[in-house]
Amino acid sequence: MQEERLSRIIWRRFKRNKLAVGGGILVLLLFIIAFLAPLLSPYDPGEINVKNILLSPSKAHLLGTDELGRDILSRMIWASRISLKVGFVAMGIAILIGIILGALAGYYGGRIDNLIMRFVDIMLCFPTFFLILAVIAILEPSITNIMVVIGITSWPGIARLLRAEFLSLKEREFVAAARALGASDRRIIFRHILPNALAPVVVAATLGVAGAILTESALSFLGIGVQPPIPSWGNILTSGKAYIDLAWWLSLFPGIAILVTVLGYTLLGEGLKDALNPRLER
Amino acid sequence: MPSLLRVEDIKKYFPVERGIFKKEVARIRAVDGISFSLDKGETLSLVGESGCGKTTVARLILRLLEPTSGAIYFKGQNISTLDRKEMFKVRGLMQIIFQDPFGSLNPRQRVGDIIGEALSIHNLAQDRRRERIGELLRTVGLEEECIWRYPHQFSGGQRQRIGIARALAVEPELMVCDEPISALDVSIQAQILNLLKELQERFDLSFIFIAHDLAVVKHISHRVVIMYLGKIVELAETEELYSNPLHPYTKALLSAIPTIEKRERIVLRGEIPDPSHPPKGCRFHTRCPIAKPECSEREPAPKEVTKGHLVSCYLF
Repeated sequence: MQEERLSRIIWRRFKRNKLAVGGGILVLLLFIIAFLAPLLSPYDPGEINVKNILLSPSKAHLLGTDELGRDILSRMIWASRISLKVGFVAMGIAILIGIILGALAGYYGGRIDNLIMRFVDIMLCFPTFFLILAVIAILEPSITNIMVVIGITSWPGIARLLRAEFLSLKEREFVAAARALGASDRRIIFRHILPNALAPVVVAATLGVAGAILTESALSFLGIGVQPPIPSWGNILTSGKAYIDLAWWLSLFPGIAILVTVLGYTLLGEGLKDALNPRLER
Repeated sequence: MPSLLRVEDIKKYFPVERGIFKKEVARIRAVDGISFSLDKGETLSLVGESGCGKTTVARLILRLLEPTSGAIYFKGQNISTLDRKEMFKVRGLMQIIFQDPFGSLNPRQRVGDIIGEALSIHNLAQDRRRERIGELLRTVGLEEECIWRYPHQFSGGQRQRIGIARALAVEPELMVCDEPISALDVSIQAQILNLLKELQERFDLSFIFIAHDLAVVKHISHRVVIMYLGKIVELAETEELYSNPLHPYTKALLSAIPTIEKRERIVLRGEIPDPSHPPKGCRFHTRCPIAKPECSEREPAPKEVTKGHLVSCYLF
């Protein structure tokens, strides 16, 4: 009999998956870059220098400069903060709504379940990206609006996941035992069911962060996301579009940044999925 | 003396619904009119095949399920009509032990929290919580250090002991044991049975003991109820039932116990019928080796053959 915590076992299983560890390292690296942005960026990301317009990558400007002579590397480092913020705040909102509605639907069942799940169906009917486009077009495009809109359009998947978990967990005997002891609904939901239902939510959230970052980049690319002069990978990419035959570095590097970030979160999410799966060997 | 628990003609039908309008297409009659009583300090066993409604009866007694009809009296009080608040007081007096020792403990809680939760829900021993948890663990034969461990670090038998400690925490008078040993290794089964027996004497507990195996039941019960398809077919004192079984189903079950001496085995043909469409007449007539024509027409009423020995069969 080992004296081992569950988290230790999960960590051991996670470690074995090299791709997942790679994804985790990428995500960690992005965090470090975002937090240390003022220290890491060689120039002020907003500093315009007309003498340095569209310089190709060199020792002074590692990733070149843009059409206003701003340093691309510095702008991209600062933009990582936006990605991180959008990814996590949007997913935070989605998780909060998803957990509350999913838990209510799964635990109480019946009419409440029907009402919530039909609402979920309606939400899933909308082509999400166009819904976001329309909403942002009506509201003014700002980081806050983007985070909120992405958040409130991506909860249905999480609600469904959590409902399914609740449906199966509430039939388990340890829940019956709690009920026989006279535990309140609140205690059963928060102490017994929710902690056992979170694993798939963690996975979905990690993958969801990647999705939110991608959506933010797409919106910024279309010009209704993060507004210049605030740098975002998406809007750097847009400005690069006009100069693609003159300055390839303007489009290539933010593109790679988006790719690597999304890849990092996806690998991490997939790795967590395998590590948290209780049906795999103990 | 009034009995501790009295179950009066309880029924539980589960609707089978189809389609988007939830049309009820059938009803599974899991428990179809069952009555019995349990005295203080007594062990009453419910025995029957899988699907005969034993577990449903257990859950009905604890009101984990609401009965379709009928009443359950606990210490003279009809608990099937109690509201949540009043029921809460009763819950501290009746507890359940489950069959699956792997499913009955929350995998994310430490053993100390699992047992401690029972105490905090009922506001018991709050000033000496640690000691009380340790005391309970020792009572069921575990060490106090187990407090810090998670359920997955224990074997099946040890987990079952944890489940028993949780049930004991609220100092119940009635304990419903829903096949507490059938998921365990044979070598562990006897240990748990002995523990239950010991606890019964020590705490003056009354047991409803559910099993699908008459061999297990013989040693611990005072009276035995034989169930078939949601009904009681025979009820008698243990001695009487084992020495003088009356119902053909009971005889078949008894003949299935392995013995050393040679004995004729009664092998039942076929499966237990679909409880949503139970056979007309006596429910057992489709598999009964001595069924008569009248058995398929009307249902036999329970009859007291000798004192305390009830049987539902036309032969008596």
